[in-house]
Amino acid sequence: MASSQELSDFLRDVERRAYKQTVYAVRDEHAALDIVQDAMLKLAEKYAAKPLEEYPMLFQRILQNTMRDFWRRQKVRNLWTTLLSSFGSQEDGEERDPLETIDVEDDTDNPVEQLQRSQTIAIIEKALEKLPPRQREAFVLRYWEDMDVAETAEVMGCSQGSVKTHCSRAVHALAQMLEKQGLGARVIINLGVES
Amino acid sequence: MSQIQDNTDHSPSEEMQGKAIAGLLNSRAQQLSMRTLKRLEEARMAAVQQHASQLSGYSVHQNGTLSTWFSWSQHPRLISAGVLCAALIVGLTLTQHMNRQIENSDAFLLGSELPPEAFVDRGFEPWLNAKVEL
Repeated sequence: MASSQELSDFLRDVERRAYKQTVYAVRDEHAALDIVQDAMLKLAEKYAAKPLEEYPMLFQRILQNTMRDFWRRQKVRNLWTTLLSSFGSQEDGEERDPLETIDVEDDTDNPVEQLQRSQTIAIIEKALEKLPPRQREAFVLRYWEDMDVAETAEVMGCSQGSVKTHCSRAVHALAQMLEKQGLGARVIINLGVES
Repeated sequence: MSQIQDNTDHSPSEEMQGKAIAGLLNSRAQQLSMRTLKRLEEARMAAVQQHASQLSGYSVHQNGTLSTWFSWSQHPRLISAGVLCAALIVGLTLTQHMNRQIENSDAFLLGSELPPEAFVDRGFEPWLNAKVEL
């Protein structure tokens, strides 16, 4: 059984990635924060007695399920929003929080390099958002979470063959989209290695 | 389908490309706004608190298995099932009681020397009492 300190360390390690993955999936930063928080609480509540080694897979599974729940609720909500949208007013004077704009400093010193990297990542993020959900899920688990094919298959609830197919298609689709933006595989690999 | 799956095994370049993209995404994940980081920290702390309270509710039996104290009280389904069972038992008892009463009254009517119509007639009992007094 994992101690509270171990849980805290584990969550600290995964929370940023989990948040970004959720943002790519749901395209809403506030909803993503809620989803990650829900997933964290569910892990702590339902699997307190599980050993620490099982946490990465459990957390990913909970996170994916919470995202699916979000989409289901969103479908119902969208139906009502569509119906009532003609009566509502547009939000144009949205308040901005100064904290929102403060980013943690980039390690790279060279501003040109920073800009290039930042632009590349923005393109990748857009491309990732365009991927079909299952391909994105497979890509994120396999390459970002560094799970092996068997673990990814277990989290996704599909066969290992399907994981390989999803991953392969995801990488090809991403490569194609990046190629269109003038970012060849070599550039990506170089930048990825540097990071 | 299996043909496709076999053909899409990860090639080294594909693996490298995937890892490189993930590496770049990971570097972006390290540059979140302070507000987001604060929210994540709050979420983490809430989860850790929840975990600590869950752990304090666990007891270890002699054979090494774990169980939670009063864990049933945290499960609304169990409570609902308990209430439903209690309602069923009460209903069954009441039905049996009523059946027994009906059986007794049937036996009384059948065993009586008077015809059943005599018990329905409201004037019969005063008439009978008057007869007895005479």
